[in-house]
Amino acid sequence: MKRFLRQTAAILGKELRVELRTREILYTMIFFGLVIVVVFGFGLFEKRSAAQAAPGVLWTALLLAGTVSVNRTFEREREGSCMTGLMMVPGIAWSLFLGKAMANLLFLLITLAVVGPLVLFVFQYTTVPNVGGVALTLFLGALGYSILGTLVGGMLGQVRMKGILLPLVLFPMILPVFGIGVTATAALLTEGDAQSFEFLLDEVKEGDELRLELDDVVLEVTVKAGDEPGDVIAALSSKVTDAIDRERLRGVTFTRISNGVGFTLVSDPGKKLETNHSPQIICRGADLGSKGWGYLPVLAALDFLFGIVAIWLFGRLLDSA
Amino acid sequence: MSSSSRRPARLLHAAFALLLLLLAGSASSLLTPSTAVAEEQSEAKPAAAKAEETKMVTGFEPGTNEEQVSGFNLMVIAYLAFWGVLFVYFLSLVGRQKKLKGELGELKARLDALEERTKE
Amino acid sequence: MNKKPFPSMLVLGSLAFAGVLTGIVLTFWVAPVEGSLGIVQKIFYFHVPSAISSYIGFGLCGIASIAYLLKPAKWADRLAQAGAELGVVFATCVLITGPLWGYKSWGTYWEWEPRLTSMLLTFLIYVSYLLLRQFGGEGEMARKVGAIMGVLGLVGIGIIRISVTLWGGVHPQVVTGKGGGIHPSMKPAFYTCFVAFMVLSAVLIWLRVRIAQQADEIESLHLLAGDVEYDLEKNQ
Repeated sequence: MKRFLRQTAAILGKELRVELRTREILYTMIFFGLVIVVVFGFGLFEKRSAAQAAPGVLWTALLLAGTVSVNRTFEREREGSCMTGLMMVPGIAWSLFLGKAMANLLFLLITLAVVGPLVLFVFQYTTVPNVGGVALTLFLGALGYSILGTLVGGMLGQVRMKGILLPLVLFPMILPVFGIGVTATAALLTEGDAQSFEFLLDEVKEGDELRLELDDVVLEVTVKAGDEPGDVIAALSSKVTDAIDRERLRGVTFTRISNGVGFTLVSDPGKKLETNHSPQIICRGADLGSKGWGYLPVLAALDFLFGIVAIWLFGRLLDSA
Repeated sequence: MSSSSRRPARLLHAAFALLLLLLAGSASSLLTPSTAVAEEQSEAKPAAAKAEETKMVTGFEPGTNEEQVSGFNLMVIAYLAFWGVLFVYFLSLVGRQKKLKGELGELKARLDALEERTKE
Repeated sequence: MNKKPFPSMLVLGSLAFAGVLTGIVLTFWVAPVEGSLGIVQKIFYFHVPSAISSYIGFGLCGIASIAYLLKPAKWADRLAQAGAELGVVFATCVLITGPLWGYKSWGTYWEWEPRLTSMLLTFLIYVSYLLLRQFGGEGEMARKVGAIMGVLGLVGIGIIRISVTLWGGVHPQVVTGKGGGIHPSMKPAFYTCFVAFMVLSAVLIWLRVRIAQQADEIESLHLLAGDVEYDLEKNQ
């Protein structure tokens, strides 16, 4: 028993000493934790129900699953030490990069084809609005990810601690694309499944009290003037009778709309909205889906930019090596 | 070589230490807000509140003047953290310089030994 | 090793010191307390210059990395690393002081809003750069991989700026444009701090580059000594 304890203590001591000297595990672990917090912050922030978390979960799955194939990108060449041989071939950079990137993209897409429906099933989507749009968004996201991943996998293949460094280097780089992707997917998935009403506040004045009834949810709203002239903000003096709590509704209500300040309410299909305000507040279903489509060109442009930069950098990586 | 590379670093250490001392001083002076600030704050308040504020502190009461205090505390925390971060970075630079000095000693010993051997 | 930098370093160092000191004095004893935000606004005088310093550091890292990829030179690598370190240090400062200020003026510590988000993402990218440099090993290839990462970071800054503006936000644009601007009585303090931080950044970069340079020189001397030892042993 004594020997067992002594041995354990010796090994623990050795581990701690090594870590204290290099600090590589703690530093990378803490940073990885930070990155994951930001990923989930991006993916799940301002999502008020489980169903709305679906895009974030889907994209996070893409991000994490992708590391597997990216990590393996140049592994076989490295194990067989034929990387140096490949580098000798003149003009190989383009085809090497494109081939690897396309393979990564394909693996990602196949994974998504399985995981995507699973996520929708788990989050109880009975119908999927804008299927094409959602698929295209995911495709563009996967494209950017595989381009960047191939470059990062290739370059990290040349350094120490590759496996640990890979997500640390890749995730922060891909986060902007991730953020746009989640936003776009969320917008595309919202349309059809949910109604959204935009309240245009040009017909109400400060101090007006509105009572909005949305079947089982009742909102009491007082209109207040904002800080800037002409800025109208609706403040909730609210009483909400349903399960939705006040904090969460505040998030819903104060979304900015194109026409000054208003608020948007997202509800399940088939519910009727009534107010006691006269004249009746104009409410219309906002086309959230079209907003989602608007992100696609941005994603495509980012992918293009990634592509150009990655190919140049990949060429430099192979150049004199 | 060693003396010329060490001297400016030492001067800088001294400069930063002095800076930190001064900052500590200014931070402590901030803990008692300057009169200008106090006046500006009290102008907006009714006389009763003013009297309340200038009253001697005989005990701790929750909720008095929370708004102003919180802003002030936030600023103090921000400044301490700010200079703390910069100072830690500076210390790490100093540490690295020190490590180099040690390595330089090793190198010197090695070169000296080499010199001995080549003489033989 | 190199005696040349010493006098100018001393000048630059004392300049930074005097500048920061003047900045502190002006901030706390000359600039008035801001009307609506109160005393917490004094964070501004250090918050904004640090943000600018950090972006200068990041930009330096990116440009030096491009230079290294075009023509592998040790100075470019050292400069890139120094720039990234400076940027991360000042970004940390910004990310600490920002939320504290934001808590007072917006009522929340954190908002997913363009400027905050882009600072956070840029910070993450360059921390990963530093981790890569720290733990990725040494040598020609590691330096090259570091340079690639530096260029990616520069591209990342651009992409981040584009993408985060798609979310809209609440951050005041005091310095760069549409915002109300700062009152003339606050300008001396702000500009003094700004200049002081530029000089301070230069000093820190210089120190960091010099450390790397000396480390390299020590290592090459060790290698040389090793060669001589080897020769001696062979001759014996």
